[in-house]
Formats: sequence, C-alpha cells, structure tokens
Amino acid sequence: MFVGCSLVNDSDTIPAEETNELSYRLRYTDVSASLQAAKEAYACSPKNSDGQAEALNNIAYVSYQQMRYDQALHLLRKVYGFSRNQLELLCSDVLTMKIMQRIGRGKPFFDSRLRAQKRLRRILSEENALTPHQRRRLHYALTELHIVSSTYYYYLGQDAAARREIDEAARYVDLATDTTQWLYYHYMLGSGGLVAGTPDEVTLTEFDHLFRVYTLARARQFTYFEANALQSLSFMVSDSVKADLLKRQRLDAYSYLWEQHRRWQSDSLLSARFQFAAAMSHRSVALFRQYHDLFQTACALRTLGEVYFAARHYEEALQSFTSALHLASDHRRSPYHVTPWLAAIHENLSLTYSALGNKHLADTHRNTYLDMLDQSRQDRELDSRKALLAQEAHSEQIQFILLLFLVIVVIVLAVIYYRQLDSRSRSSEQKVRGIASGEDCMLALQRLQAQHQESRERLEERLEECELMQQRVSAQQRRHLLQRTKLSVVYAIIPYLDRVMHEVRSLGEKDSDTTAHLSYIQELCAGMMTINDRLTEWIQMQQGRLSLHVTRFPLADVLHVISMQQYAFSRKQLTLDVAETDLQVKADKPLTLFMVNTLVDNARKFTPEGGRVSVRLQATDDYVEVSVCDTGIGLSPEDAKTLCDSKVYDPNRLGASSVGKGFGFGIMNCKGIIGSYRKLSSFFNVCDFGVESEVGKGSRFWFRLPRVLSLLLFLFLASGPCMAAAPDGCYALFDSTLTANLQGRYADAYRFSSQAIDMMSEPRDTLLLVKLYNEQAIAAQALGEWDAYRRSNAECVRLHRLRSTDSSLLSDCQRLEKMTEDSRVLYVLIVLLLIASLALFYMVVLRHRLRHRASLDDLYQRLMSLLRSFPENAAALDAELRSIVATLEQPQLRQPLEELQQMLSSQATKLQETESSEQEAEERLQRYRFEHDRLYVMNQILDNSLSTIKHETMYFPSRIKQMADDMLRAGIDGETLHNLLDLVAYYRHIYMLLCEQAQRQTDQSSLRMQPVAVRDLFAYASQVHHVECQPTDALIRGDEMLLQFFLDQLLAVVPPDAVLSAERRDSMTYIICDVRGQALDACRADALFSPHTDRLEYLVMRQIVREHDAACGHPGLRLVAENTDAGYRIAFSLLPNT
Amino acid sequence: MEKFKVIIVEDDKLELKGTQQILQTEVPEAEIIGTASGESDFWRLMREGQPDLVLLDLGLGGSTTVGVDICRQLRSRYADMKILVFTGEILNERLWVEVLSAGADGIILKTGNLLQRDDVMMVMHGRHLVFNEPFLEKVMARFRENVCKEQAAVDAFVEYEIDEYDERFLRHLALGYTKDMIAGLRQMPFSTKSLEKRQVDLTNRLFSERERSGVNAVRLVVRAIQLHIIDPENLVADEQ
Repeated sequence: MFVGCSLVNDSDTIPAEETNELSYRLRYTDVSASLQAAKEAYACSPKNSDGQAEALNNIAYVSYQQMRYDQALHLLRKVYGFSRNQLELLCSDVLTMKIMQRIGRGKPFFDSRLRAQKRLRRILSEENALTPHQRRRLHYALTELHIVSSTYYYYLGQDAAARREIDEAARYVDLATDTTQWLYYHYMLGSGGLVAGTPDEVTLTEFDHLFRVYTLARARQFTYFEANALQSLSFMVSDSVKADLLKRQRLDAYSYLWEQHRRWQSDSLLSARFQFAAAMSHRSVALFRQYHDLFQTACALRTLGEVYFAARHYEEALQSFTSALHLASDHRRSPYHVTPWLAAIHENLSLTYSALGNKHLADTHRNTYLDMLDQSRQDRELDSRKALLAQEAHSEQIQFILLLFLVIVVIVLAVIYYRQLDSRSRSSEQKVRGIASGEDCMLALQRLQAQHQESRERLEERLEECELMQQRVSAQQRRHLLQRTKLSVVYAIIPYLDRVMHEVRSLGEKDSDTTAHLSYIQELCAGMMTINDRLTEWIQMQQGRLSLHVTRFPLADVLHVISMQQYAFSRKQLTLDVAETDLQVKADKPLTLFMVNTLVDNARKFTPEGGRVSVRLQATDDYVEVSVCDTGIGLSPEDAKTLCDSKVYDPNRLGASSVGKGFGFGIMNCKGIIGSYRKLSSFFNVCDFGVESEVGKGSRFWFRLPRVLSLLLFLFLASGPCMAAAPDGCYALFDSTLTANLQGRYADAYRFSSQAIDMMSEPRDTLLLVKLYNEQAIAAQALGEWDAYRRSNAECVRLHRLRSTDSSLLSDCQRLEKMTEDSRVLYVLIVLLLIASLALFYMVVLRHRLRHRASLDDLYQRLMSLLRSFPENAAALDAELRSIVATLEQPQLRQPLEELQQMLSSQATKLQETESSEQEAEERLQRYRFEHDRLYVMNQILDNSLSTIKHETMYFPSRIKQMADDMLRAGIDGETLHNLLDLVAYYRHIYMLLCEQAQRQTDQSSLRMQPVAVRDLFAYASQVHHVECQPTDALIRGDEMLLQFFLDQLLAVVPPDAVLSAERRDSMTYIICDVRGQALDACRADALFSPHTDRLEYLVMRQIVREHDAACGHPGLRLVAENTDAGYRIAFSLLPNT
Repeated sequence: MEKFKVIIVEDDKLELKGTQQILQTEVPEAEIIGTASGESDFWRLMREGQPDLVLLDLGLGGSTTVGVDICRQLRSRYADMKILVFTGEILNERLWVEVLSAGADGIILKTGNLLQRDDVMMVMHGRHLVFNEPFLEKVMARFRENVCKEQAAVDAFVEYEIDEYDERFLRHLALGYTKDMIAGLRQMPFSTKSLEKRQVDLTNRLFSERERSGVNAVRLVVRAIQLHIIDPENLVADEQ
C-alpha cells in the first residue's frame, strides 16, 4: 500500500523523468552535462516530488565522482528527508553504499545495504506495477548494489564473497537495456581479482573483458569507461609476462590497441612495450581530466607512474606520483578521505624516492604511508566496536524473549533473597564477632610482632652502632684531653719567658748584679729547653698513632652542608653560590668540610652587603681545585704573600682596613691541614693551598685535593659492551633490525628481520610480525630490491588488514536492525513494570534490611582493611579502632570489639615504643657522629698547631742562652742588650700568638658533670687494670669518662699491687692509690706533676683534676703524691655529690 | 720601714729563685722565713712561725687552684695577715675573682714587671686590692667595655627616638606578654590596635628598609637587646 501510493504516475513528472534519464545516460560520458541535466530536472519537478528525488540522486552521484563526499551525503540526506518513493530511496541507499565503500566505513555501508535489501523486497513484491522508467531505475539499482558490494568485499580481501556478488550482478546486466551498467560490470571483471583460474587464463579473460569495455566505450563515447579500461590495460601491458602472453594469444586485439596508440608513443628512451603502456596511461589521464573526475585522474596518474617505475624511469615516475598526490592533497581538506588510496600514492612516492636515492624523503613518505594504514585500521577497529555494541543489543533481545520467565524468576528470587538476607545478616554479625579469633587478626598480630621484632633488631643494631660511635667519641675526647694537656705544658713556658724578659730588663738597670741575672737567665733557658724537649718527645711519640682519616667521597656531600648556610648569608644581604658537582676526591672528609667552611666564613666576614661569595670547582685528571671567591674588600699584595708563604702570621696585623683585621687563624689551620696531607704520602703531592687577591675587588682562596674517578662511571663503561652484545630472541632481533635500519646498515637489517620472521614460526605476536615485515620492507626498499620489497610490504599490509578485519560486521548490522522491531515497546513496558514493583519492594522492605547488612559488612570491611594495613598504620590504629567502637550501631558487638581493640592496641603500643626508641637511638647516633667529627677536626688542627709551636719556637731558648753565655764571657754593652731584649720580645710574641691559635681549638665545656658512684669507678679499675679496690659507697660529681681515663693514667704509672680506696676528708672525697714497698724521692715528688715530670700520665692526671676544679667553681681540688709509712700514695679529691 | 717576715709559696724551683732574688734586691725589709712548694709544707711552716706576709702562688704541684683554698683558710684563721697572690694564671679571670673573695689583699700577675717594691709595700701598709699593671689593664678593658655598653644604651634611646612607652612595650614583649596583656597594664594607656601600630613603627625605626621584611616580635625584641634598649639582665614586669 505504501509503495503503491508512491508509485502513482503523475503527468507533470514526464519532462522531469526524461531530463533525469538524460542525466543518467550522460553520467559516464560527460559529467558537466549530466549535472546540468539533473539540475534542470530538479528545477522543473514539483517540490518534494519523485522527480526531485531522482534529480538529487543524480546530482549526488556527480558530487561523488568529484570526490565531494560530504556534499553528496548532504544531498542524499535531503532525499531521505522528503521522499517516500522506495525506488529513489533504494537508489540513494546504493549511492550511500558506494560512498561508504570508497571512504572505507564498514558500518554505514552495511546499514545502507540492509536498508536497500529491505526496500528491494518490498519493491519486487509489486514489480509488475512499475513503469518502464522505474524498471530501468530498479535494474540500475540492482546491478549497482551487487557491484559495489563486490568491490567492498574485494578490498576487504574476501575474494569468494566478492565473486558471489559479481555473479549476482550478472543476472541484471543487459546490454540492450542499460549499456552503462553492462560496461561497469565488464570493467569490474577486467580490472582484476574477480576471475578464477590459472594466471594465464585470468590474464586472458580479464583482457577480453577490458578490450570489450574499451571498444564499446570508445564507440559510444563513454569516456569514463574508456579511460578506466585503458588504465587497466596499460598496467597489464607494463608486465612483461602478461604482455608476451597477450602478444601470443590475442595478437589482433593487441595490435589494434598498439595501432590506436602509436601516435602517443613519443618517448624514445623507453622500450617499445613501455612506450605502449605509457601511451595508454597518458591517454587515460587525458580522458579522465577531460571527464573531470579527480579521483580517477589521480588513479590514472598513479598507474602512469607505476609504468615509468617498472621501466626504471624514476624521474618521470616521480613526476606522475607527485601530480597524483597534488590532486589528492586538494581533496584531503574534505572531512572524508579515501585513506587507502592516499596511502598507496605515498607508498609509490616512498619507493620512487628510494630508487632516486633520497633516503630522507623516502622515509618521510613511508612513514605517512604507515600512518595512513594505521589510520584506516583504527577506523575499522572503531567499526568493530560498534559491531560489538550491536551484539550486546542482540543479547538484550534474547532477554526479551525470556522476559516473562524472568519476571517470575525475579519475584521468586526476591523472596528467596529476602529470606537469605536475614540469615546473611546473622552470619555477617558472626563474622565480625569471629574477627578477633580469625586468621587475619592472627596474621596482623604476627606481622605486628614480626615488625616489633625487626624494629627491636634494628634498635639493637643502632644501639651497637651508638656504642661503637660513643667509643670513638670517647677516644677523640681522650685524645683531646691529651692535646689540652700538651697545651698546658706549652703554657708552662710562658712564666719562664716573662721571667727572662724581666731579668733582661733588670740587666739594663744601674747597680744590678749582672752575673746573677745572666746566670738566672741561663737557668730559665735550660728550664724552657727541658720543657720543649719533653713536648717534642710526646708529640713524636703520638705521631705514629694519629693520622688522617682518608676516604673517597663525593665533594657534593661537603658542598651540600655548606649550601645550608644560605640563611646566614641572606641575612647579611649576601649571595652564596655553591657549585654543583659529581666529582670525587680522596681526603679527610671532616677536615675538608672544616676547610671549606673556614674559607666561606672568612669570605662572609670580609664581604660587604650586596656582595657574592661563590664556591667553585675546577678539576684536572689529578686534582680538584676548590676555590672560595668573594667580592669583598680583598687583601694587599703583602698580606696575600704573608698568608701564602709564612707559617706564622699575626692575624691582627693583616687586612687593609680596620674591618679587615681579625683575620683569625683559619688560613693557618687550612695550610696546616694541607701540610699534613703532603706529609702523609706522595699521593697527596698535588695538595696545595693559595690565595689570589686584589684590594677592593675581592679574593680567591683555593686548595687542591687529589681527584678519584667516579665508581659509577667504571660500572657504566664495563656494562656498556655487555648490553650491546649477543641479541637473543625475536624482540632482540627486532631491536637489532631497527638499529641497523637507523644506522643505514640495510643488508644487516634485512638479514636480522628475515631471521626474526623465521624464528616466529608461530605468529603469536602479530604486531611484532607487522613491524618486522615493515622494517624488512624499508630495508629492501633502501637496497633497491623491489621484488623483495613488494613481498614484504604485501605481507605487512595483509597482516595489518588481518589485525583489523571484521568479517562479522554484516551479521552484526542485521541483528542490530532486528532490534528495531515493534516488540520493543512491549519489552520496555514490562521492564518498567518490573522495575516499579522491584522499587516498591525495595523501598518498603528491602532497604532497611540491606542497610543493616551493609553496615555490618562495612564494619567487617573496615576491620579487615584495618587489620591488613595495620602494620603500616600502627600509630593510627588505636584512634581508628576507638572511633569504630564509638560509632558502633550494633550494641551487641561492642564487647567483642573492645576486646579486639585492647589486644591489638597493646601490641601496637609496644611497636610504637620500640620505634620511638629506634628513632631516639638514630638521633643519638647522629649526635655522636657530629660530636666525633667536631672533636676530630679540633684534634687534628691542634696536632698541627702543636707541631708548628714546636718547630717555630724550639730555637729561641738556646739562642737566648747563647747570648747570655756571650754576655757573661764578654760583658754587656747597650747593643747586645738591646738585641737580647728584641729577641726575647719577639719570641714571646710569636709564642703567645701560636698559643692563642691552639687555645681556640680547645673545647672548654667538654666536661659532662654528673653524679658518679666511686664504686663504679673502682669496678672499672679492677676489671680493666686488675687492681685491688676497697669497698666504698661514696658518690661524687664528675665526668665519668674522664675519671676512668684518670684511673687509666694513674694505674699506668703505679705498680700493679697498688690499692685503691676512697676517703672523706675536709668536705671533699679523696680517691687514694696506695703503693707499698717503694718511696718517692723528694726531688722527684716535687716535680711529679710539673712539666719537668718524666711521665706524661702525671700531667694528664693534673689536667683532669684541673678541669674538674674549673667545672666545680675552683674549690681547690687536690692532686698530691706523698710518702707514707709503708710506701707512697697518690691522692686526688673531688666534690661529693650533694 | 721595719723588717717583716715573708713566706713564699711557690712550687717551681726556678721561679722561686727569681722571686727570692726580686725580694732580696727590691724589698730589703722583707725577711724570708721560709718557702713552701706544697700545701703540707706550708702549714708545717705556719706552725713553726707566723709571717706578716704570705706571697701565694695559686697552683701547687698537681693541685692547680689549691692556693684559693689556702687563702680562704688563712684569712679565717689569721684575719690580719697580709696575703698577696703572685700567680701565672694570666688568663683565668674567674680564678682572680675567687681568690679575692677568699680574702687576698692583692693579685700580682707573673708577667710584665712581675713583683715590684711598691706593690709589696702597699700591701704591707694595709692597702687592699693591690694589682700590678697587666692585671689593671685587663680590669680596665672590662670596665671600658661596660661603660661603652651603658653609653650605647643611652645613645640608642636618642638615635632611635625611644620613649618610655617604647621601652615598656619592648620589655613586656621580651617577658612574653601578649599585646592584649600589655594594653591591660596601668602604665600603658593604649589599645591593642595602637600597640600593633607602635610595633610596626618600632620595626621601622630599628631596622633599615632592607632588613624589615619578616621581622616578628621575637626579632624586634632581640634587636632591642642588641641595641641595649632593654637590658636582658634586668627584665622586670611593671605592676598590673
């Protein structure tokens, strides 16, 4: 009925009908005329009539031919919009299919095809009512439908389906009724791929089809088909095998064609056969141009290019391909492109450039080609996904059939579910109750215990480290005490010096007893010399034991600490600029830090606001030069020289202005450190120190340390070749191929890829295989192996298609179509009803039950996740558990949860405690390290200072003594007296200076006064020195470590049978060491604790007592040695702890 | 002057010889009735005969400051005895204070001109606080420093235009008062808001333009202490 109405003839439509027919007939003859006719038909048809629909179809076809696909689709949408004429709608469907086939959209293609087939069924049921014009339209639509489908399947690689469709088309093709479709059909058969048989048979059959098309099209001026036939024939002839076969078997036709194109054969450089092929191609191009078909012109140009390429005339080939691309790039701006077609042109260009040796452009075009292949693959994948959706829709349809059944099932299930919910709620509750005894809880507890154990082990390790470090700190403290002791000996010279000074001055006075004065000076000098000798002895004695702690370390460690001073610099409006580095040096790390720090501190002191201090590095193979540069006030040349050259300088006299004074002893210390490196070993000969400075401009202080190469670099160099060697497996071979191609080793690349392809006997990884074939193709292309290239590329493209082919697209589209059946309404209604009743059920009954259960589940989940994440969150555990208990909605669960909380919390608390002790131990370790480094640096510098004092002042006492001797012998005159006075004054000055420098490096507040049980000290003594101790419960105030050191010293100088005891006398506690059977001689006893003593230990003891005395506020602590009835005793007093 | 008896306490034989020489040549009135190198020697001598003057070294043998204790005991037993400390402790200022508190009449440092006749005679004439030149130089340096500090405080008040409210405000800030609490003080007739303004104003006065950014109350108070505007030794809150 529907169709009948729309097929009614209208007398007004007759002229339009004829114009439309004309347009159709001119379609393959003259595009412009065809368009003109269609437009006329449109104009003369009534609005929205069938004639207009047909005219629009014709106009759309012209648009299609001119590659304006968007416009064509727009026109077709218009037809769909107004027309009810099923025949014209069928034609529109078929044209849509044609467009979709060309732009490679599978889904819309099949949609249109399904629509067309449905319409066709309706039209065929009323075929008898059709007018002759309508009948012709129907035939056109039918042949076109099958030919387009065939073409679609052919390009998809489904040859069987393609042949089936073309055979179907044969049923409707009739030369008498429609020449156009007849030509189209035969051209399709001739253009390749649709004929079965041996290669020779295929060639001959195709040639026959093409020749028929050519002759007829030429005779009836179907330009389109003439050009198409020529193009295909040209391609055929350019193949030497096919050409020979044709010459043998179809000589007449071949000769005919040859004669036809004789006048085109002008290119004498080509062989005759290629001239012939080129001539046909040229003709084809010319015809298409004349016919205004962009797409086909570009195709013909491509064929021409391929002919030239086959003839190895690459320049001409390039020209043809470029023209083709040029045409195509005009078209690219349109939203729909014919991607595969463009891709083919790019491939041709890539090959041609490769043949011409332009590797770069060849690669560029190959990449574009591959991108386009990938693009079309992606498009297809998109289609597949849509198809997948369609499949889902289909399964929904099956559900519909089961819907009623489902409704019943749902109701039954709802009841069952409701009942089960109750029992599940109960079991959930049970589960929550069971957590405490459950496996997870046990596991959590175990993990917690394990962690606790680990933490405790770490804590023990830390504590051991702490102990070790503490011992090292103690060693440094003891060493420091020794240094202070030595320094006190150094100071002991000063009163002598002052006496000498006084005596020399007295010499000048009138009535003085010169002989007495001079001999006293001599005695004093002798005294000083004894002290000096003693000092030298001690310093030398310890030199062997104390050396620098040289390690290899990255300078960045030291510079990082320096750069942390930014704030102090910015407060003075200075910029501190510390270089970044990965250099490594071999040196003493704390001392290096001390040196850089000293120089940076000095620079800060002497740089005015707004200045810049920078730490820079410069490395040679042997050393790294660290320099500290500033934009400060600078030094005069004399000062710089003094700093560089002399061992001793007076810091108060250096510097250009008053600000510059007070330079400190830093530079002296730095130089001392460099000196001790050089003394240590010849490895450190590169060590050096220097100053460059200019008044008003700034200074640069630098020092050099031996450089070591980074360990990492060695590792890298060693591992480099290993990584490159012996590729293994397909992936490695692929990598090698890629690398070889990149490096231009194409022969290797071809070999590697062939090996890899052989290895992949089971193509599990299609993508890898595609990539391998691609690389092989690139290699072959670069090598100019065209056959190899074609094989590889064809395989590459085939696999590429294989990856994306979706053969089920058609059936999916059909199923999707069925979904639109009317029954959908019913389906929706039933579903709505079901949903409504379920919603009611949910609202009234289920919701509360579910909420109850959800809260139980949630509780369970929270507890479980807490238990699982527990060890990480040990700290937050207590709070979390408490909050769970507090917000509990089920009062019956409160008790078991509280028990759980207590159990876990107690364990967590234990862990926390250990962890915090661990943290504490770590911090203590850090403090010890810091303390150690600080003391170490001071000791090291004191070593240097003491040795400088020794070296620089040794000579003076003997010199003074000699002068005094001379004076005694030869008498005194004004000049010698003056000289002597100068000498003594100078000696004192230098001496005081050096003492001050050393004094700055002593740690005055190093004593840790605390209550100490004498019993503990005695226990230490008896344990370490196996000495007898009287029991005591005295408690004194002191530094335990130093007191132990005191006992070490004491027990080193007394015989092993000495007895220790403690005694309270005159508000002090005395610790007494009794020695039996020996007495001290009076002379020795007097000098026992003086610098003239024979053992350093006595002086160390004195130093310890002295420092305790100072720490207690000088109560006059005693250290005495006196003879007793049975022998002698050494006693020292300390303040009792009150 | 009449002759007087002296005991020299000195543990170093060489030094003792020099001291004896000085006394013999410079102070012929002094009769050395004994020398002691240690504590026990000294008390034995004291039992034998009482001197008029004890020339006391502070460090004897291993006991480095035993002289302080000796001095204290001497003073408690013999209130009139003259005690002159003759010591090589040229750096330990704390010890000087201790021994003066213990009752010494003077301190002569073993440097420069050492012991001179005038010093001994002054002590014998009953003068207290007798010091030789090196000692006085050190005392003078300390004294000068203190005076300068005080002057600096006065200068700061003038230079930075500090009034009594500024001082009070800064002092209470230093004591940890909040601005609200300061505004509640009887002597501070200001609201919290105007105190805030005052703080900004003070910051502008005490800091140069470049230093001003990020100055908080703590930094301001520290600055005031550095400039001696408030005295950290003497921080007392006003009555509420």
